[in-house]
Amino acid sequence: MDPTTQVLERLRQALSSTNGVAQPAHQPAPIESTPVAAPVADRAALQAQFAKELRALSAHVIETASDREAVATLADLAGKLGVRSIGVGADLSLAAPELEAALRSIGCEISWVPRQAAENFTHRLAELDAGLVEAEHGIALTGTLAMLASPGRARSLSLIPKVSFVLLRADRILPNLAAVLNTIGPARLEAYPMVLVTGPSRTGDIEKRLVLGVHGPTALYVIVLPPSTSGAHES
Amino acid sequence: MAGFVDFSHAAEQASRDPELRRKLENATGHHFANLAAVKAEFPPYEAERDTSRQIKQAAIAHLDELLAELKAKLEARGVKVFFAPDCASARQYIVEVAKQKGVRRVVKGKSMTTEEIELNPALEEAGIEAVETDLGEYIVQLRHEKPSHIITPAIHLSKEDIGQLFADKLQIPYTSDPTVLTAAARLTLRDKFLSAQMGISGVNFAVAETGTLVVVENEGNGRFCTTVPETYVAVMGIEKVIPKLADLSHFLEVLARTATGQKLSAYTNFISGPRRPGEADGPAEMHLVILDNGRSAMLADPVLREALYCLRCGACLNACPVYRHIGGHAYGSTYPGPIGSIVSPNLVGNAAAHLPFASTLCGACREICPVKIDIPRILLYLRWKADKGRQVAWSASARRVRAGARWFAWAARYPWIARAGGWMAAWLVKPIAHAGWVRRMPPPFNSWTKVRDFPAPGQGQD
Repeated sequence: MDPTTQVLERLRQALSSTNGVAQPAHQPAPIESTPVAAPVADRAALQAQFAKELRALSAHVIETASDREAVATLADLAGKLGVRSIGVGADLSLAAPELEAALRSIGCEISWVPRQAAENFTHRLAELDAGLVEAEHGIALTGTLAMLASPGRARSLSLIPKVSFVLLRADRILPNLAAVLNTIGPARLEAYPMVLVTGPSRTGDIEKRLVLGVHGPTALYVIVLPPSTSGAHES
Repeated sequence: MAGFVDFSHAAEQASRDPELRRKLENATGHHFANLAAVKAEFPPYEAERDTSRQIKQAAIAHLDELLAELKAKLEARGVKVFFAPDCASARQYIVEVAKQKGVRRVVKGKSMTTEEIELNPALEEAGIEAVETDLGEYIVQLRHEKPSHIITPAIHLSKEDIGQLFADKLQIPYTSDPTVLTAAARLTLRDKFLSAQMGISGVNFAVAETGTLVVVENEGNGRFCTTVPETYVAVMGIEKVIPKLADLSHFLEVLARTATGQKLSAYTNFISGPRRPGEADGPAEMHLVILDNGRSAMLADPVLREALYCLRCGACLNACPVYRHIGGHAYGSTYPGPIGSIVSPNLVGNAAAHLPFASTLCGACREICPVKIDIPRILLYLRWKADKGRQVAWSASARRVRAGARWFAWAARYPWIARAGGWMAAWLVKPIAHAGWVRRMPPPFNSWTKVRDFPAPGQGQD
């Protein structure tokens, strides 16, 4: 008997041997039903909660009113942090030419990821000072970013460089994890991997003292962009 | 019971180490303060615990179907799924994959299951370097030790111990500053991540509906191990599977809160398969090893089955007065503490037969467990099972206690006898009681008062 059949057969026997014991049938867990897009009135509250939670985890959250302001903020931050090279995700919702111009103006070298880093990918990422990606959703309750990978969004751009910049559209902030899983849905999770990021990389393994930046980014900057509809017209 | 003699000895040694207790109390104190804060801020906590327990209960009752569903989903995306009946077959499978791929270096995310199957020695025997990358695991690996806690492997070490270790092994100037030490580990391990050909991690949850493995971590080493090397191997026990994606949020809302007092861990990885066409990164090949190793026997036992609900959050270790007194190493098992005492006897057999006795049955573990496993009940059941097979000679003191309990049981049936007994006891101790306490009793009643005071029975008590 091959090992797979052997183990599954053991389980079947184990389960049937306790048939006398009442077995609960699986009932789908009641998940909090949350509207996909929060009403506009609640959006400010969700954004405030998201920013507060994430700041409590030593991440930096910058809330911007227009795409232009977001681009300027990014360039300003990159300049202040001494970022000389940055990997930029290919499918961001900010207009590429403006972003490129702003970053070049401060002398920052741009690699479009993954387009310009196909060979020896992870080693190339390790040489970059910073990475810029866009999150799919934010979670207000825990200050969490949900990032889905895809051919245009590399898995490790938000992992390997020491400084992580993440863009997030304000209307993508949902109340809790249940709402995010509900919105993304099983089909998209089957297609590509996702990571939930809640603050910069951290450890408490040495006498429970909190230290940031163990293996992942040491610093996390989240730039909250205006809702997608208003932003598109401005830039 | 040689195991019990060894345990008693190790526990006695450990309890004489005040420095160890300082470290344990420091760490567990941190945990309880954080846990209390996040619980207070999150009113649905208790409801989420109940829901999580219900989901586990249902999942474990349909393990065979759910694992078949998980396997089918993952295989459809090119993941190779291997069911390992025991530790040896799991080890052999992983070493074989590594050899076939010409792997020389493996980076490992924290995985208690790979500790259970003793994977590292097997890899090293095959000439493959296995590097633990969770900071705590890395520290204990450098010391050639086993983790002493499920979540905080180096809980038994001080920052000075670790400073000395890094000075010796990593050739850095001595410091006890956790920030500098962590930075040194980051630098060393970064090279390992980028040069390893294989990554191995544990699994916190496996969603059958979507075929998704969920790996929860804080450091980013889990992301590295599951993303960067060409081959990725996940290892899980059969009990990790849950039915639906919608089930997941309930567990994630309680797991980090209970384990570390965080609202959510820094990274929660959802992995559904190897790199897809067009993707720039991610493993080219992915394997999942699903381990039985005695778990199906627990499944067949109506009492032990509940132990399979465990999320491996480690909170019961922090809550346990025995663990807090002696630390994890004294237990002599991969999984220490209360949960270790109920799962180890089934995973390693006789070598852990002593563990169900390593508890005071105070119930703190049951109180803190995120899925409310009745650990004391299972401990009593395992004690009963251990005794059942043997003709135990009752010790003289056990016989006295038993006789006393029989007399009490008889007397308690008649209120007037109980009242008279109480009155007589009060009258008898009156000459030796002071301010409501008896400090010293004459032999043979002095066992109690040798170590603590006894409350004087009040007059007219029922």
